[in-house]
Amino acid sequence: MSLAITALGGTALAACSSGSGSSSSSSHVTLNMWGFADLSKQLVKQYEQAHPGVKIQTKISDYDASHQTLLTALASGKGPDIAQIAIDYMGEFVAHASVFTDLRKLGASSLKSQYLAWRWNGGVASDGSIVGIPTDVGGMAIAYRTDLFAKAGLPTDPAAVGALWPTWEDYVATGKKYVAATGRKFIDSGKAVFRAESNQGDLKYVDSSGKPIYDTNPQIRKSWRDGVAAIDAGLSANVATYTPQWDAAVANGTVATLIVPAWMLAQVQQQAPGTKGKWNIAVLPGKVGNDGGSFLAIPKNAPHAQQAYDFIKWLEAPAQQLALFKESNTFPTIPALYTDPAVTRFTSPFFSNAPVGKLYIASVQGMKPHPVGSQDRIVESQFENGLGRVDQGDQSGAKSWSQVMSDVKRELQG
Amino acid sequence: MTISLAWKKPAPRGRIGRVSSAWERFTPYVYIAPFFLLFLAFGLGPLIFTGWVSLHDWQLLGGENRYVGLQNYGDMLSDPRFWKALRNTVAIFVLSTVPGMGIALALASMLNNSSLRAKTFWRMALLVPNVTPLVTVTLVFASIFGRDYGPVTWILRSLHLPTVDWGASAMTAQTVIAIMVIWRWTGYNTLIYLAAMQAVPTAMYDCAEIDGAGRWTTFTQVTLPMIRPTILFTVVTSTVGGLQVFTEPLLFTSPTGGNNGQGLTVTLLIYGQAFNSFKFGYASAIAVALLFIILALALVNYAMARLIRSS
Repeated sequence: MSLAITALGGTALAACSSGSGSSSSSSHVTLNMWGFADLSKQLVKQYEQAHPGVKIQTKISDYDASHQTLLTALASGKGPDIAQIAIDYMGEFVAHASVFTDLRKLGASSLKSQYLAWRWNGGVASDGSIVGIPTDVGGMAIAYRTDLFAKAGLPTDPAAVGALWPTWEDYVATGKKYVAATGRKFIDSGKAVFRAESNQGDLKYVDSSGKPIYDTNPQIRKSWRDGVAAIDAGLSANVATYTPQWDAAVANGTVATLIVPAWMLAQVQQQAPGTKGKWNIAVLPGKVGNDGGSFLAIPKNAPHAQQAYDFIKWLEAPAQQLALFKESNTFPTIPALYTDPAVTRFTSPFFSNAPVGKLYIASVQGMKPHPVGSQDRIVESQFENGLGRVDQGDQSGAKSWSQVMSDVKRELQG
Repeated sequence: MTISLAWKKPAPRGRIGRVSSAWERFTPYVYIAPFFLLFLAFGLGPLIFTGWVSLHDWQLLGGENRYVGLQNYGDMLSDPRFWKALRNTVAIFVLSTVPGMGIALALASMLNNSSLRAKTFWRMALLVPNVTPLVTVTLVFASIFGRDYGPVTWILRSLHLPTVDWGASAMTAQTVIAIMVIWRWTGYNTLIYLAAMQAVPTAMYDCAEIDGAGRWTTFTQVTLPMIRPTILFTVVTSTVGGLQVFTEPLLFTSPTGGNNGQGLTVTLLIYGQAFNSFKFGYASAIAVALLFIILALALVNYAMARLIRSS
């Protein structure tokens, strides 16, 4: 009985495919894409319409969970067709380039010249194989509350505000004035200062040969000092991002400034809709910066590597990056777009029509790339915990620093 | 097939009696075999594999898994995080088990009261915390014990008391985690105690009443000694569960147990070393150590149980 049905079904199918003629069965593929941030559904739909044989199935998980799932899937030789990997995790995955499809084989070398060089290199392994194509960069700037600045007797015009803090010391000094005048907090946490400033040097946790320099690098020491200085001066509200406390602090004006990567602007608008028009955006102390952004990679065992590559190539092409920037402010990795009027003239009404495009272009263009070690993410989390201890009032800056040194050393062992 | 035949047709005594009794001796093992086969595949197998991994510098994504002997264990013993995690775990265990069991006993003896109305409702209600998803419970408690907002902070503020950053210090973070554990497991233990209390012969209570014992004396002199084996059973299950507390500290503090490891438990350390630091060999070594710690405690419990029975 069941045999007969199968046979019948088979004939029907055969009849069908012979009838339609042109489309071969292999052109019907479903691409599985795993990630932590929803890439535009609109763009995915657009691609599916243009390529009737291709369906794209996205699975979005939490930030850390998505990378852990990917790791375990790759370890067992499985995985999606397309994996989104955050820049913080990229060092670890690039160190194991052999579990990914070398995108050079699919022709990615020819794309290189389109992208920001330092950003592109983040996806390239030491043997030259290309692991991932960059999606966006997290250019940096400072968002500040004009109403609260006015109350504290500080300037409110973005140019004048930017002039207040050419350096991080100046930023902390401005914060002191603000706190003295209002008795309120100036920043969300001390580690925000550390995170932004430590990314501005040409070296971070490792030197160009991959040797750890977290303990001696002056850039790290200075960033730590400024972070601690901000906390010690009473500037920090000690709220961590992605917590309800942070959302509340941003919404009710507990903090007067935020160090915001481009992608965080959307988050501020979402969490604090009531503050519309009360913000403006000024240049970051030290001007340049980057925080966040991701890559799209294809695991070695991906069933449809070629189709996956075609999709990635399309999604990260200038037109689509521009569309995504307009939709959710994720900042393009393609310098050609930095002269596109759609980007340069982009302003955000939520942030008092601040020239978001221009500010973020400036911050990523002068960016000096630093070598990324395979364990930078783990090192970074020790430093962030360390500043968290100071912020919490658990430890002095000096005591916390020495604990960070021993914690990092232990993590880097073996 | 043959098994079910043997079961359906009890063989007559005599010629084939010996065969049948061999079957009878064999069949129980067949019935419990599915569990043990599954346990072998999904319990013991991974357990042995974990032991194997713990002897290596294990690379999840390709690369050579270098054999390092007992080095991971040596690292563990000299790792202050391991000892901190162990201390925290024991502290949370004590903070949750001792009060939790006291509350469970009190609730059980109240529910055991024959004049209580709507018994089924109360018993069902006790199980609700146990069947609520752990993540939900943790998130609700995290907002109850929020630093800037939340009911506890609101009460403290209205009493003009200083507010507390509950997640920040070891003492407060562990207390809140212990409260979550108590919330989740007290009802479960209550029902087990209740079942044991109902098995106490009423004649014992009648005797106590005739002897003029009050409620408290009856409880301490009759009920408690009679349900002692059950209490021991709950101590064992709570030990095994309590040493593996994970979700509460993960969500209430952070994957690293907070900035200063104030919520770092042993299982959280295992998880962090494996999935955050990608040190699977080291994480496996700690997991094996945890296994032996739990085994040792279970043995202590077993010895105590024997002592109680013989006394």
